[in-house]
Amino acid sequence: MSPKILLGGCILALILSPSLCHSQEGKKEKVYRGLPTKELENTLKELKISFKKAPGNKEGTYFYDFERDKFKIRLTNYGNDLWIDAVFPKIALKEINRWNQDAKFSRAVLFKDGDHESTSLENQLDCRGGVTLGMVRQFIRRFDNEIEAFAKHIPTK
Amino acid sequence: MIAKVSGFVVLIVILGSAGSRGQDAKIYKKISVENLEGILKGMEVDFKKAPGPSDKNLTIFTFERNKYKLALHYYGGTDLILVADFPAVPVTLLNQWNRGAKFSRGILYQDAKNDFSTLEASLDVAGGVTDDTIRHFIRRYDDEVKKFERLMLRAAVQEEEVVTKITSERLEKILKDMNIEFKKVPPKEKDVSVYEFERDTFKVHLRNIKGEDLMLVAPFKEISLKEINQYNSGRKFIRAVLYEEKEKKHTSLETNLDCTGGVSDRIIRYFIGTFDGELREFARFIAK
Repeated sequence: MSPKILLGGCILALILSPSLCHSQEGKKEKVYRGLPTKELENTLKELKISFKKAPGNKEGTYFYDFERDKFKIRLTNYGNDLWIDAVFPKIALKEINRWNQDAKFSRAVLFKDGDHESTSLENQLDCRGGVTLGMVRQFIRRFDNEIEAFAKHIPTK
Repeated sequence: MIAKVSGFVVLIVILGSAGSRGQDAKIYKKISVENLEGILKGMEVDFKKAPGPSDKNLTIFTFERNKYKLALHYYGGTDLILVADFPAVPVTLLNQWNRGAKFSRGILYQDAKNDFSTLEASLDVAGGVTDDTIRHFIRRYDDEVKKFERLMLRAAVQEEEVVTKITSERLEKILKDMNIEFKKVPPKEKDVSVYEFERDTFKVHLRNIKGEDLMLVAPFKEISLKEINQYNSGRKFIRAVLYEEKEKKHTSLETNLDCTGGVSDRIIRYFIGTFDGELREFARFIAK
C-alpha cells in the first residue's frame, strides 16, 4: 500500500470517527413537543424551499404550499403533528395497496372530493412525543424521494 | 307591555321546569360502578375497566376523548379523578398552570425509569352530585386538557440525548424500561433485528432496520381494500396494508420511525407506546 493511500485512509478515519461516535452515543439537542411555527419556517428556509403560507381553519394550523421538482406539495403544521401530501390522479386500490406494501415513509390513499377521485401520497410526523429539527428536515427531504418513486409507480395509461 | 309580560311568563315557565328537573334529579353521595358505567355509555365513551394495581377501592376506566388518552379513577364511589399523561415539563411551567387553573392541576412525576407530567381533576362525590354533575365534570375536563396541551406545546422544549443510529442495546434497554417482555426473532434480512412481544393481547413485531428505521407491525385478519383505504383515510401516523403470502391473506397495521434525523429515547418510547392505541382502534374498526 502506498504511503499516500495509507495517509488518506487515516485522515478519512479521523474525519468519520467523531460523526460515527455521535450517531450512536448521542449528543444533546433540543427536542420540541409540538413544532413551533418559527422553527418550521426556519427549517424550510434552510432547505431553500420557498413556500406560500396560509392559515388553516383551526387556530394554530398553517398550510405551506411549495413545489419540489415540479410536484405541488402541501405541508400542514397542526402544532401536534406535521402532515405532508401531494395529490395524484386516481389509481386502483390494488395499486395503492401495492405501494403501501413497499413504502415505509409514506402511504397512498384514495380520496373523494365531490364526484372527483384522486390519490393522495402522504406522510405524517407525530410531534407530541417530541421531535428534533433533524427529524423535520428528514421528513421533508425524504418525501421528495417518495414522490419521485410514486410518480414512477403510477401505471401509465 | 304585553310582550314584556309574555316574556316574563316564558321565563317563569323555563325556570320552573328547570327547577323541577333539579328536584327530580337523583343526588348521589356515593356512586356505584354500574351507574358510572351507565353515564359513560350515555356519553358514548368507549371505555376499558381495570382494578387499581394496589388499592382495592380503586377501579380505573381508560378511554380516549378527542385523541387524548384519559383515565377516570373511581375511589369506592366517593371520589372521581380524571387523569391525562403528558411528557415531563419543567415544574415552573406546571406551577404557571396551577396558578391560573380552577378545575385541574398539573403534576410532575419522576422515578428512576421515567418522568412524566399529568393533568388531574377531582370530583368529590360525597358532597352530593347528580348524573349531570359527572357529565359536566368529564366535558369540562376535555377543555382543560386542550388548554393544558397548548401550554405544554408552547414551552415544552428540552435538551435530550439524540442519536441517529439505534443500537440493539439501546432499543432493548428502552423495551425493558417500558416493562415490555420481548423475544428476539431470527431476522430474514441482513442488518435487521426483530423483536416480538405482546401488547394488550396483540402480537407485535418491532423491526430495527440498520439502526436507521424502527418499524412496528401487527397482523390482523383480512379485510377488503376498500375498508383498508377507508381506515387509512381517517387515521394519521399508521397504515393498514393487505398482504398475500402463499394464497393466505392478512391485514397488517404498520408504522415507521425514521431515526436518521436524530431521535431521543423518549421519542422512541412514545413511538412504541402510542402504537397500543392504534392497535385497539384498528381492532375496533375490523370488529364492526
